[in-house]
Amino acid sequence: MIDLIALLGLLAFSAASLLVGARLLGLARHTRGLPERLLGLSLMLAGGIGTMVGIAPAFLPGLDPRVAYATYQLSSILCHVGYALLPYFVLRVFRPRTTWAMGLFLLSLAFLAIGAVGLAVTLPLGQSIHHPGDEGRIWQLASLMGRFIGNAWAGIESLGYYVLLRRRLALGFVDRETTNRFFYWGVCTIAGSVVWLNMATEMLIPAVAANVAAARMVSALLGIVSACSLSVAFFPGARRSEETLGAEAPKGTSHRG
Amino acid sequence: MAEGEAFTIVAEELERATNLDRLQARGTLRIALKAAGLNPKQLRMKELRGVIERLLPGELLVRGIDDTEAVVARLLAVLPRNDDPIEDESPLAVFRRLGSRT
Repeated sequence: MIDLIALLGLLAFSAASLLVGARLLGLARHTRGLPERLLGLSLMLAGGIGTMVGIAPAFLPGLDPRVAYATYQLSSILCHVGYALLPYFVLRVFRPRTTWAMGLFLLSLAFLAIGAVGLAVTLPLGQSIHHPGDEGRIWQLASLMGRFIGNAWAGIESLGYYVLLRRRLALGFVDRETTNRFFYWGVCTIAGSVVWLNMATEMLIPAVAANVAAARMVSALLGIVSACSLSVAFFPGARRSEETLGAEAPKGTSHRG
Repeated sequence: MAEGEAFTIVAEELERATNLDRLQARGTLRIALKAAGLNPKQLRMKELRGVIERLLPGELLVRGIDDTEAVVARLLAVLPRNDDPIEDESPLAVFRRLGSRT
């Protein structure tokens, strides 16, 4: 039962990432904007294709171990490229000219690169990349740290901006839908960061490792929260009017939330 | 208009229109902008106009300046009439675009 819920959470997040990622990449074709391309690719590669490819061998018991090995390696490359694009998006959009932000991005990138290369080199034939043995533990932790930095940073920036926009919203300087987009994306990325933290504590703390079912349930629920908030954030509201696309919307014209 | 230029223009006019010194005038304006969630370096004319009309009078009254209407009129007069377009790559502009249909 726990495994089923865990799978449901993972599939929900993966499907939402694919759909939103495809939408943003489609948008990028029209706008030629780099931010939508970065976020779209990040979602498609990490949450969407990479995750789907990574869980496929678990559903194919008769799969040749060499094919499974290649599949895990491919999934890891796709996921890590996607993970790295997230902090780059945050840097580019929220802190393009800030030195400490560049440092944080490079730190996240370093953890991801070290983790990805370490996992690729130490993965033995016949073992899942998601549950590395003793040799792969340290690399998995490095990778999780890189993912955590990217997600937590995105969440903090987005929720911080949401707080600022709430004040502007009260004065009619911004529309409610865009304001709420920062909130939902903040929730989505913070939920993701807690998933990575949860996975790391499962590896580091024996008491948590002893209660795998609870840890997986938490991750599954966070996956569902993340999927829902991601979808709400980046699919245009059905009742959205052209007026709300402008810089300001009169008070009382809110469409959501 | 250069980054922060609109803020400086209004702060200087506020200093001339009241008995506030340079530091007080800039501080008063900063408090009003902060209450609106705005950054003095990334202001749009429309937003600055809104803050002057709706939030600044309260801040001026607190500082013992009663003739707020006249002060507001002077400040609005020094602002350019046409609005400057929002910076294309600001977080607000990017997130607005990310939710658009095309």
